[in-house]
Parts: sequence; C-alpha cells; structure tokens
Amino acid sequence: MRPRLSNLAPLVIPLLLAAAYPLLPEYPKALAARIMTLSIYSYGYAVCFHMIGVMSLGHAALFAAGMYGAGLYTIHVSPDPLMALAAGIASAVSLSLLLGGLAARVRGPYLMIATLLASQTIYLAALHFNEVTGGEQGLVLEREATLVGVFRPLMAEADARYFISLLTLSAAVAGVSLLSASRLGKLFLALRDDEEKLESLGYNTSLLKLTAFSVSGVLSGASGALQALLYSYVGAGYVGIFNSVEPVLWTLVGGPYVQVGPFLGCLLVNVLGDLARGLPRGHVLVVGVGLVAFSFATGRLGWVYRLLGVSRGREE
Amino acid sequence: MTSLENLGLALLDGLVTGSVMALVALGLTIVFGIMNIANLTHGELYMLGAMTSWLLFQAALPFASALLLAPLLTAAVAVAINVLILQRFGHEPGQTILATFGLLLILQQTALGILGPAPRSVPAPLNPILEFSGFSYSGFNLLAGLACLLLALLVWVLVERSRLGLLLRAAQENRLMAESLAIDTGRVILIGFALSGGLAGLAGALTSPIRQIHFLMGLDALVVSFVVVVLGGVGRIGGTIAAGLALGLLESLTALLLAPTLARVLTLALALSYIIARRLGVARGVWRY
Amino acid sequence: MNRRYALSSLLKTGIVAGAAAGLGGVAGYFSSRLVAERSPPVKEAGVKPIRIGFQVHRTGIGAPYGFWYERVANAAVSYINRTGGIAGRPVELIAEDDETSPAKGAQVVERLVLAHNVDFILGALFSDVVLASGPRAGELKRPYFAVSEGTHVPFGLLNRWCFQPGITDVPGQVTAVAKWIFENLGRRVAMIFPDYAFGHDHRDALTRAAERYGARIVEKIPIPPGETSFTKYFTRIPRDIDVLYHVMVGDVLTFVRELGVFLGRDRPELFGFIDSIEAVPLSAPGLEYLEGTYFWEGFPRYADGYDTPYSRFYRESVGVDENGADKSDPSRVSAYSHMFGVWETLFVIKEVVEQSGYSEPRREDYELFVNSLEEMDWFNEGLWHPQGDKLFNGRLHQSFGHQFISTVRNGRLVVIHRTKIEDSLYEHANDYTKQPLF
Repeated sequence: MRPRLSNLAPLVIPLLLAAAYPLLPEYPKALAARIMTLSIYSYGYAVCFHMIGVMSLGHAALFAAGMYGAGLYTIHVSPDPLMALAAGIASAVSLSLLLGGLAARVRGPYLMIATLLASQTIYLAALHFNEVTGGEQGLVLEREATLVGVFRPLMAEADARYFISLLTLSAAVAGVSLLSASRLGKLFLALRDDEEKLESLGYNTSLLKLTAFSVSGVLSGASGALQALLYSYVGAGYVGIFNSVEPVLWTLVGGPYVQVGPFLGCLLVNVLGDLARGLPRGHVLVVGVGLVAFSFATGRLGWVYRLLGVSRGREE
Repeated sequence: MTSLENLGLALLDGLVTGSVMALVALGLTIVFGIMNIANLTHGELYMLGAMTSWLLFQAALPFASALLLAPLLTAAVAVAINVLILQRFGHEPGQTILATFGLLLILQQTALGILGPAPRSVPAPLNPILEFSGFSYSGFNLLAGLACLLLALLVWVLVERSRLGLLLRAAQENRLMAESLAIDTGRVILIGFALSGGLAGLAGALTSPIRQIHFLMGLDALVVSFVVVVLGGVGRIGGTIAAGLALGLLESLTALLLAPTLARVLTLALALSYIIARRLGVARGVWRY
Repeated sequence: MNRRYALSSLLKTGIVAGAAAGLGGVAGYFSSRLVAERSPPVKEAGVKPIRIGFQVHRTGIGAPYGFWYERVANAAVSYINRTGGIAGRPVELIAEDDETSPAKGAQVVERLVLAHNVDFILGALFSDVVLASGPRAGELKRPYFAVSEGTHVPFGLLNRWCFQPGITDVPGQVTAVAKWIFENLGRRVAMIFPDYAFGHDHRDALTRAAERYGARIVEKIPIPPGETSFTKYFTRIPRDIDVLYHVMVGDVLTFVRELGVFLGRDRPELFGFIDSIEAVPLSAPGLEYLEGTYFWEGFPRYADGYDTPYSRFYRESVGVDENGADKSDPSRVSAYSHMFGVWETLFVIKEVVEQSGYSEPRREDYELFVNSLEEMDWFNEGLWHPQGDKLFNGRLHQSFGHQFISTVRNGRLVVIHRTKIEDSLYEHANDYTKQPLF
C-alpha cells in the first residue's frame, strides 16, 4: 500500500500549534516549545513501544547520545549547529543499533533490564569521564553556537526555539504517520502481534527490530540534540532512569494511537506537572495522583480508539 | 598481604549486601516474576518498612516490634493497592505501570511529609564489632545479612514446595483454566501481593539499622530489585537469591580492582553480557509491555 | 483503505487533535490564572513589591538543604519587610520546586521570569541545576544568584547575569583549610568524595593545595551516586596515611557507620567537610565514631562556635536552637553551614538595589544594578552578613570569606580555628565584566 496524503492527517497537531503561536502568552509559548522538543522523544519511544511492541527502559541513553553528540561536537569540533544536530542524530543512531541488537537477542522483561543496564552503564561512564562530559554538573554551550544563536539576527530566541521545535516535531509526526501507513509499518505491527509467525514466513525479524530501533534513535537523538542546541546545556541529569521512564508514561497516557498519542501524552503529563508546580506544597504528590487517574482513564478510552478505527496495542 | 585481608572483607561484605538485595528483590519475584504484574511501588514498600521501624523507635518501642509490625503494614498497603486500583483494570500491564508509578510518587512524597527531607536512622539492637584477622566487621550487619538469607531461603522452600507456588503461577499464566478448576484467582493474587509487600517491609525493617532511612531510598531498591529478579531468571525464586548474592559479590570484588565508578560500570556490563549470552527470555515467548 | 474512510479518518484525527489543542489552551489559561491569583494585592497603594523568584530543592536529593533554604529565605524576607523593605518597597518571594533536577530547574527559571516577571532569581544549591539554569537566566536577562559553593560562577562557566555573593566557593574553602590540615594533621592524605562536580571541585582544589604546600594525595576515591553500602570502596584506603579527607552526600549515615567499623580505633586523622553530616544530628546512631575528628564548617552549628550579636540575631530569626536544630523539633538539624548564604544573598540584593536605584525589570535598571554589584568589593559583618565579612570579586562574581575548623568533642562540634579571608584567595583569569550585558 502506498502512503497517501490522508496519512498525514495527524499534521493537524503542528498546524494547530503554529496557529496558536500568536495567541499564546510568553510563558505558555516557552512551555509549548519545551513540550514539542520532548514529544519528539516521545514519538521516538512510541516507534519501539507501540509499533513493534518492545518495551525499553534505556531510551534515555538514545536521548543522551543525541545531546552529548551535539554538545561535544559544538565544543570540540566546530560550533556549527546544523552539523552538531547531524552529529547528535548520528551518535544516537549508532547507539540505537546496539540497543536494537539487544532487542534482537533477548525479549520481554529481560530486554527491559538489558536496556536499563545499557543506559545505566552510559550514565555512569558519563560521570566517570567527567573531564570530557562535564559529569553530572554538565557543560554549557556558547549562545552563539546554538541553533537559536544562528537565528538571532532574524528573530528573538524564544521565537526561534518555538519554530525550530515545531518544524522538527512536524517532521517527526509526518515521518511516523507515513511509516505507520507504509509496508514497513505493517510489518512492524505484524512483528508486534506475532513474531514467530512473521519469522516462519521468512522475514528477518532481527533486521526489522534494528530498523525500528534506528528510526527510534533518529527521533530520540534529534530530541536530545535539540535540548543541547536550543537550551545550551548538556548534562548527565538527562541520562538517569527517570528519563527512561518518562517516555513510557507519556506513551501510555497518550494511548496506542501512534500518530497523535505520543504528543498528547507528553502534553498532558507536562502540563499537569507545570500546573502543579505553582502549588506551595506537594506538587510531586499531585503528579502522582494525576498518573493514577490517567491509569484509570486510559482504560476507558477504548471508544476513542474504536472511533478512530485503530485497534488497541494488546489483545485481551 | 593487605590485599588478602581486603579480599576477605570484600567477600564477607559482598555476601551480606547480596543477601539484603536478594530479600528485597524476593517480593518482586513473586508479584512481577511469577504473577507478571509490574508493581513499581515495590521499592516504596521497602522504604515504608524502614520508616515504620524509625517511627516505632521514636515511640520507644523495641526493634522486634518493627520486625513484626512493618511487614503487616506493608502487606496491608500492598493489598490495598491491589484491591483499590490494580484489580479494577484486571492488572492490564500498561495501566499497572502508570498507576504504580503514580503511587510510587505518592508514597515517596508521603514519606517526605512524615520523615522530613533529612536522613533518619535507628540504632542496632546489638552491635558487637567482630574482629577477623586483619579486618573488622559490624556484627549486626552480619546478623542482618544472615537473617535476610535465611528468610529468603525459607520463602523459597515455602513457595516452591507448597501448592502456593503452583497457584500463584496458575493465577496469572492461565486464569481461565485456573478458574475452571475452581481456584479463586482473585484471592491467590491477593495472597501474592500480601506476601510480596510483607517481604519488602520486613526487609526494610530488618536493614533499617544498617541503612539510612530516607524518603528517596525506594527508587534505588526498586531498580536493583528488578535487575536481580531478571538476572536470576524471571519467576525463579532460587534464581533471585543466587542473583542477589552474585551481584553483591561482583560489586565488592570489582571495587577491589577498579576506581569505584568504573567498578560499577564493569558490574553492569558483566550483568548485561550475562543476559545477552544466555539469550534469556527467548524461550518464554511473546511478552509485551 | 478507501477514500471515504480516509476522509473520515482525517476528520476524526482533526477532532482529536482539536480536542487536544483545546485542552492545552484551557490548561494554559488556568496556568496563567493561577499565576495571576498567586500574586497578593500590593500592600500599600502605589508601592509595587520587589519580586524575588526562588528556585527551591523542595523534593529530590537536595530536599534536606531546600527545606532550610526556604526557611531562611522566608525569615530574611520577613525581616526585610518588617524593617522598611527594599528601597521602601515590600519584597515578595515566589518560590517554586525544581525537584533538584537540571531540566526542571531551567523550566522554573522560565516560569519565574516569563509567568511571574520577577526582578531577581535566588538560585539553587546543586551545581547541575545551577549550570542548566544559568544560560536561561542569561538569555532572559534576569540576575541569577546561586547559593551553591560550586565553581561554575567564579570559573566563568556561566555568564554575566550569574552571581554568588552570599556563600564562598569550594576552591576558596579548601584553599583556606588545606594549609591547616597539612600543618596540623599530616601530609599523606587519602580523599573520599562523591563522583560528581561537587566532589571534583574538592578533588581539584585539594590537589592544587597539596602541590603548593608539599603534601601528597596518595589515593582519590570517588563514590558513584546512589550508593547504599561503602565498605567495598574502603578497601582502597591505604593503611599508611596521616589524614583521611571525606566529603559525602547521599547515604551519609551508612557511610560514616561503615567507615567507623572499617577503620576501627587505630584510625588516621579524619578531616571531613560538614556536608558529610549536614542536617544530621551528631547523636545519630553510629556517628559517635566521629568523636575527636575534624570538620570544616561554613558557619558553626553550635551557637558558642561563633557567638556575636549578629549571629545570635540570625539564629533566632531562622528559628534554630543553640545546638543547630529546629526550635520546634530538636531532631531536625539545620543545614547551618550553607543556609546563611540565602540570608546574605538577599541582603546583597537589598544593598545593591538601594545603592543603584534599580526600580523595575528593564534594560537601564539592570545596567545600573549589575554595574553596582560588580563594583562592590566588600561586605561588612553585621545583621546582613552574620557569618562574617566578605571580600567580593566583581570579575569573578564570587565572595571570599572566613572558614571554620571544628572538632567533635563530647558529641558536639567545637570551633578550634577560624581562617582569615586571605587564606582562601586564589587566582583565576575569568572576567565577567568583559561580557556585554545586553
């Protein structure tokens, strides 16, 4: 089946975000830019989680590879943000092949822990080689060397940040939508639903997993590289376990509709967190209560997915 | 010479740390390994056990009361979590992860409210310093480690040699079949949660004099437990115990050779290569989420 | 997939996406409402408050410090408001939790500036939070005051908008006490420190000092974060050292207890930074081992350690008793060696606002403010600076001050030495004043 124009329907999201731009006050605008950058990571995670049904607990390593790749390229090679972005994505993709290789070899909870161990190893290595990575304190990039720095003669940094995130998010949404409608996307779903059958039909499932992981690596790495190149900071604080768990929460909250779910989930969880932050006490508690509420809500969203003609990711 | 003494100490300390890890992870083996329910609050239950020990110490009650009351409390909390929340959506994996992560945050913040932000501690009920040739070791640490190991072995025997283990497995692996055999799977899951929660709380109380008591202590315990459960082979209680001990020893021994952070890196890398080399999980078939 | 289906799918997607955007919009609306409601009415007609944003470690690993930082900030603001405010204007403190996370810290800076439009930001302690926040503050053009001890400010890792006038930095502290350690305790030193920036600052500063004074650091043991048992790392401590220098954060109680069992009675001299037991009572089980060992203190925990009218007033104002604990709960010990930095920073802001004539967040006012602050070179000891005088280096944006060395005697910390400001000075080429402000 050839991808159709209608497969790009989810691009409504970025269009709405673009339309909302002149209406948003300053802070929501900054928050939206942050959420857009993060939701690219969320899409990257969903490619593994929803499309091939693999749960990784090591995606923070891919995000971090993008972040460190871009940051270290800027500091040590040349302050060229586009090349740095490419370097970030390239390093994330190479790492994703490693994680994909793990996925080809082990499954289920073993894979969860294998990816967790892999990303913890990278976290500790980032701490140990602190003379290069800046350790947990991290490194600051020169403003002029960042992506927003390049656009500074043309527009304010806040605007540049918004539009660069929006542009990248649009590309991610379009890419994921086209992928899920493509033949490869169907193979991914088949892999998720019955790996043994697909294998017996003569498909190389390991290769399929590697492909999915590298797509995931491109997106997660792009998100990480944008964190470095839009917010001028690189640090091991982005490689912890919590950073691997966050996209799990986002994609679960967003539901299995892979074209819009990752963005919706990321938006909901982050807006909840941001609203709660204004409270004088206990804002993390509120986030916890919110997640429990979401867990009930996602179970009741079946009708939405039926309406959309998508089957849920799991069999009963 | 010195290195030989250090080797003795490293072996002893590794076994003690490993026994503690094994007991902490044991409850997770039951709920996650055997029943296939990813309960992310497990580490918080461990923390609750330690916190209870501190509260009882504040109330001038003896340490033994903590060993009794902490597991009761955490078992009750685990059962409540199951009945009030997880059971409502039939332990659906995705919803379970969301809900238990939310609960993890709730329990952690509740502990922050009760304990305050600073670390707390309780004294060991007895603490002789044991002198070995060339090094000394805390008698209570050794005792707590031994107790953890014995308890873990006891649970192993209890679950594997009784009908309980069979029921626990049946309740999750083939619910329909189990129910057609007139097994009340809801009750079996309940027992699994109570046992798992109780073990976590007991481990928390038992180790409260040798660890600091802090609202964030649950998260590390959770991660270590997951690693131990998986390394031991999901669902195998004996494997969990062996993996705990092996990981404890490995951490101790690598620390003799390398700079501490590199030693941790090496430990993790070895654990990872073990998983890869054994190709664990392939035989278990499809397991998603 | 037929055409009709494709169309309806387009429509449905649109509905869902629209609903999402709508939800986001509502959320955004409430978030700005919440912001609007939070600012209390102006206390006196026509007098606009000075708004100071405060990034607090309420949760996460920094929480023990965050709790006390917030207590001190509230106490200082209440005192300032009782005594005429800043330049006659009341001060409003807007505190938000950064979860001790660099990502959340940067977001809090954005919230404070863009949603609350604060005049100044009182910053965090943990250096990763400071380093992630500094660039945001620089871009948003708001003065950011770290109370961190980190080297990020003085060593030029940040920008012209970042300052650390209220607390001394680790190199300054270590430089000041190292000479005393080498002369009084011995010259063969092993050190244990956390394997992150705070620990690396100690490692680097002590190594430099050892080179200068002809001492030897024979072993450096960095401990990875999140560690809950330490005995395995103690096997790396050489037996023939004079001094074990320790500075730990994290599972500090287990650290000290296991160290005690490992070293036993036949121990080397122990010199620790109080951070190893900050906010922890010395009466905690296992800490009796510290009897007779030495500590750096930023500001003595026990009232008799540095008894001046100013320090007494400060202790009273922040609600801390003679033993350094919360007046309402003696088991809750304060972060006494660090939290004074919050107090002193707020008074630096007051002094500079009043001297420069700053009135609102705009370019010309900030030019006046930053230039005045950079021209400062001294803060006198007094109610505003109860810890002691400080020399301020406007090029480095960093203060230098006195340090205390205490020993544990009968389960209390007893001050035995107070260093001179000159002892803590070091050279650094950084010069923030050369950076353009706008």
